[in-house]
Amino acid sequence: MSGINNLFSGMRISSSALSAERTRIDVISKNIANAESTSMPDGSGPYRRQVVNFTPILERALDGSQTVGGMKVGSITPDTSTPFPVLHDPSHRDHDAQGNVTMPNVNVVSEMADLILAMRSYEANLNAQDNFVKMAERALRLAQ
Amino acid sequence: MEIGGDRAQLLIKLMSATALRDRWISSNIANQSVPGYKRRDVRFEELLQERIARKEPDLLSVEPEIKVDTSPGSGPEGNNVNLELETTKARENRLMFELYAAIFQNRMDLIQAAITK
Repeated sequence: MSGINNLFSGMRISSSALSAERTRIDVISKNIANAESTSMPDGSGPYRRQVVNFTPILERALDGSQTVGGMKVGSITPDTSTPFPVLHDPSHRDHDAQGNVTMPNVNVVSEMADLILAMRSYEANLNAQDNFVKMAERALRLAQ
Repeated sequence: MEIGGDRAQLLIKLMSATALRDRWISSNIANQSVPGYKRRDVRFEELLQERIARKEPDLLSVEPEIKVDTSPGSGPEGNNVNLELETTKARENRLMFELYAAIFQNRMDLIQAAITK
């Protein structure tokens, strides 16, 4: 029953994606939490949005060739393409000489949309893993 | 395992191919946001049917085929995974596995009963 081995690699694929999506959810949460952080503790100015980059996990197939398995976080990089918005607010603690404040480049509405996508993806991977477990259990019952 | 003959062997292959398909559906779901990823299909039942249509008796040598779906996608860098489609396929696939397992179980029970008489 060589094909039955494939059942367990499937579970690992789903769990790798669950882990990666969790990281994405964490990063989005951090972005939202820092949407108004105009000065970071290290004095480096406003918070810069972070982006999670996914990459496939490559594994060796039975015939020796490279094949795609699960998915992982390749890198977490700062968003250098979205500019910092500048607001005019002389009452703000971190205003400059002209009364302008440089805000973090986080768009909360956009982050919420990403969060919903990430959660939907997490749930889909959870269901896929559950599906696998049920199939494996069925296969095991054949041996009884 | 040779008990049960060709029919049992074929059922085992069907279950095996279904397990492989489920592995690739999981891979598709896992990689739904990965830039440039293209979804995969696993073909087995169609290959069997092609052989049957050509009236070739040897079905046990058919192997499942993993096919990359190269159609364009709306995801990042052409990622063509459709979550609703994968979820539906997963459910359908699981039902097929249950069916094959049930038939196999049934067959083994009959043989068991015959042996223990």
